[in-house]
Amino acid sequence: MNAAARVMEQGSWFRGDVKKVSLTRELFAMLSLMVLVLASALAVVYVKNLERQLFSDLQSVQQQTNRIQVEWRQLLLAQSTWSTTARVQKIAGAMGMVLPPSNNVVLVKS
Amino acid sequence: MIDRSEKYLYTWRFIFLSSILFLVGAGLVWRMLDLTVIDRAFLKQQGDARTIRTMVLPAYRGMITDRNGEPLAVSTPVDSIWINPQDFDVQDQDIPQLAKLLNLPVNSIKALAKEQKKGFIYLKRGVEPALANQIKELDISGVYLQHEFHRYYPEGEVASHLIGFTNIDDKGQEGIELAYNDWLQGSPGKKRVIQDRMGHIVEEVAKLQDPRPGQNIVLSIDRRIQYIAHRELKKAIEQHHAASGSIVVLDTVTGEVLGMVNYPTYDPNVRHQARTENYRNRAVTDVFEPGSVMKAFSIATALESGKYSPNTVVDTRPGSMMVGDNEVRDVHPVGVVDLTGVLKHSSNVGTAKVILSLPKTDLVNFLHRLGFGNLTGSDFPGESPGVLQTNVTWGPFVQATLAFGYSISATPLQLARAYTVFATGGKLLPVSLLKVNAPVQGVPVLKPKAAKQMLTMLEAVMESGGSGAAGQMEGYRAAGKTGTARVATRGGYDPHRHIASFIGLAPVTRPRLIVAIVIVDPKKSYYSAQVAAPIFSQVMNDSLRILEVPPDNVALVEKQKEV
Repeated sequence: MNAAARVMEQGSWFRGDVKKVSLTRELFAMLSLMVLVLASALAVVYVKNLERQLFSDLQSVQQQTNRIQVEWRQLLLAQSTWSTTARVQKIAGAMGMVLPPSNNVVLVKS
Repeated sequence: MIDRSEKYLYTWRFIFLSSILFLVGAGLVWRMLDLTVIDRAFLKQQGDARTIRTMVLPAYRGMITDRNGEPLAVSTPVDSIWINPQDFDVQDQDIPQLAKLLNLPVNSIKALAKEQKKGFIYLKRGVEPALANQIKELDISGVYLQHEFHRYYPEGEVASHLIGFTNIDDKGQEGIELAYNDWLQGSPGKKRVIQDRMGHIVEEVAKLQDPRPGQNIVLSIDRRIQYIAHRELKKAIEQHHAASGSIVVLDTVTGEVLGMVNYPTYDPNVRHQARTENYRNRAVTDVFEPGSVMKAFSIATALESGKYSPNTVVDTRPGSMMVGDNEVRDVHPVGVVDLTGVLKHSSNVGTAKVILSLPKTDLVNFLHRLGFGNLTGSDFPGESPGVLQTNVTWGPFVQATLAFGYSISATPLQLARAYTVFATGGKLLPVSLLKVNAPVQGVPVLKPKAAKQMLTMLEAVMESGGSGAAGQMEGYRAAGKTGTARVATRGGYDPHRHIASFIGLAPVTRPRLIVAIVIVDPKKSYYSAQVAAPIFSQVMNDSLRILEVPPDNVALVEKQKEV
């Protein structure tokens, strides 16, 4: 605060005498610090926003994972239920499929 | 010039305005102090209460699969619908729609809602997520969802005894579900999040506990073999009007149980119809006096002693003998036969004579080494060790009855396991209900020479003329033994109730499977040769085919060459 007050007391800007302003080392340092503070403040806002966005993406991806996992388990169950040996046998019978009797079997020796 | 009174007025004004400004300032400062210092804790708590939520991260119960990864028990998420009668609006116009979705009468929902004293009543449990979402969208006040898991068993009644089931809170109650409950069960995780007004999660504050999903279990059974055993057992029991029965299929290389079925059975998916007694995995929990299937061990004891060979002649005439005050009889007298003939025709007299000629402890010690009277190590809940009395204070009659399978009780699994010694050249294998990946080391309990001789003699049992002829197969050479025993009841044996059993192994050239069959109380015909042996040939033949074991029946192979 003191530095700022001194600038306001002594600086030519605040007396309306802009032409007399000379870029001293202190002034330069101060101005660049101000710019940096502003930039950092904007960066904080930007990063926070980015974080929110990424987090919301993560949320939806996680929800998608859950949904897919649920679906996978249901499909697994469906597959397993449709392919039970009992059902396969029943359908094979309905299609007229039989086990070949032994006199129709030829053993191939490897 | 300024008047004196005017000056006074200005001073007063100045003081007045300053005090007001000061008071306003002081008020603001006080308010700031009040909010940020004095009430800080309270306000923070209130703020958090409005935004911070603890969320439960659900954890699935592990899957149970067969040896090829086919699912036998799978959990999927469902929702339970519950109402709080105190918040529930009976006049809500969506109630008929709710009743329709849940397939409940409107009146019963309204009746439930009248129980004003309660704050929590289930409308319906285990509702499918898609349906639950429709209910959620109706947005009726006082109706809530609760996420849960429901466990499905795709194989239904085929594997129910082995796998068991869980209760509505997802805890194992029977079978593998019970034995490995801790392994299968997951523990849900918790995280703390910040939610906005709309219920969106804005930020994850902390993960309080990671969810630990349940572990999967791979069982040793093959669901195809399991089904074949189930199908044949069911067929045989209905055909013979039997009371119950069990089949165990064992792998003679790894000691794994490839199939284990019982009848009567139940469907674990619709359990409310099942009778509790049907839950029992009889192959492991029920013991019986095995009868003639035990003669294989008596003959093995004789061979092991070195005093007998398969050709040693035994005189069983006249088909009965007195042991102490009791008579041992053969149903069909067999006359003078060699040791193979004693086994082939299942002669009680012959077996008793042989065992009585040996030291008293030989047989009982061998049976003990085979695991009778002890748990098999399957870790199945409720497994029975059976009964084998090892203190030899008994008389010769008990010794004789032990020789043909009485005075001892065992489970079907124990019997199947004991027969592994004939398949492995004398080594008793540990049994396992879980998949075994490494080769197992058996415990030698019988001389390899005796085991080899036994295999030949057991094959003779299945030749035509032998008691197990009906168990023969076309493509594979098999060895096995029949057993027909009376059911022990209080004070003796029931003359009208029998247990037919058959234990066999195949292919003889390179044994791969043991199939043990027990049929309790068949009504039509009670001889094992007619009841159990035909099941053996079906189950064994189909199982070997499924495992792609090449046929070893020389006759068949020769016949093929001519073609």
